[in-house]
Amino acid sequence: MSGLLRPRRDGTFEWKLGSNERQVLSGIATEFRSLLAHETPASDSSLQRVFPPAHPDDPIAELEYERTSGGALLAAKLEQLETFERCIGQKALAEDDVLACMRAANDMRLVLGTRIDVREESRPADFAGDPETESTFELYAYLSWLVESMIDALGEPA
Amino acid sequence: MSGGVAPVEVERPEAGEVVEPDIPWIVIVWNDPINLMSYVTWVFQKLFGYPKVKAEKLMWDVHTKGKAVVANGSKEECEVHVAALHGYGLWATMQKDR
Repeated sequence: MSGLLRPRRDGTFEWKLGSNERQVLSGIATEFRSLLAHETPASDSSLQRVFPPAHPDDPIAELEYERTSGGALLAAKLEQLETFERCIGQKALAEDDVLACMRAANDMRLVLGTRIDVREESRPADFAGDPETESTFELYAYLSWLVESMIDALGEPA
Repeated sequence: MSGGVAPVEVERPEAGEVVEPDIPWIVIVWNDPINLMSYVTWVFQKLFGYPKVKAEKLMWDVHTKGKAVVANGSKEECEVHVAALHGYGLWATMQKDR
């Protein structure tokens, strides 16, 4: 795959995606949007890493945190996913767009990585054999590379 | 010599009432196998303004010790930090610094 993000002198970023990459990213973004719209961490465990508890040992405090912050967190994740979907078809991105796309791509990694049970000691060979698992791991690895390339392009945070 | 200061009325806690001391809160980031080390370091720099050396040290603590305290403050301040870390997809929790 030939995806590439490169900083330009005017502060924007050159964003090169092949048509196959656009199709793949668009597909996973649509699936993630549906997941966010219809499921919760309680109904789909692949969302547990996207919405981790703030107070795991205090159910009352956790309820309060979800009441005060849960809605805003979901709204922010939907908004950055929308930015991601919009940016897939663009050739140049503003820095804020790159930030939103990086967060969205990382959220999708969290979902995919949880689904195939990625662990510290995991190796690519661990995900070989079953076509669906292999495909999910390939997508996970691609999104990992994408996030890495975004970190490289962004450089040191301001 | 008698002072001209009126005695101060002290509000005493009712019997059995537990008085919580003003304990600060801490924000903990936990290790997970999915978030990239470079990403975690970058987020610590971005959110807390930590120099890269400090951000990397915290990231390595998370990775090798399983967790690291990345910030502290009032409950409200820590809630803001935790929500921001959750916005970036990091596994963050908060608790009183006992």
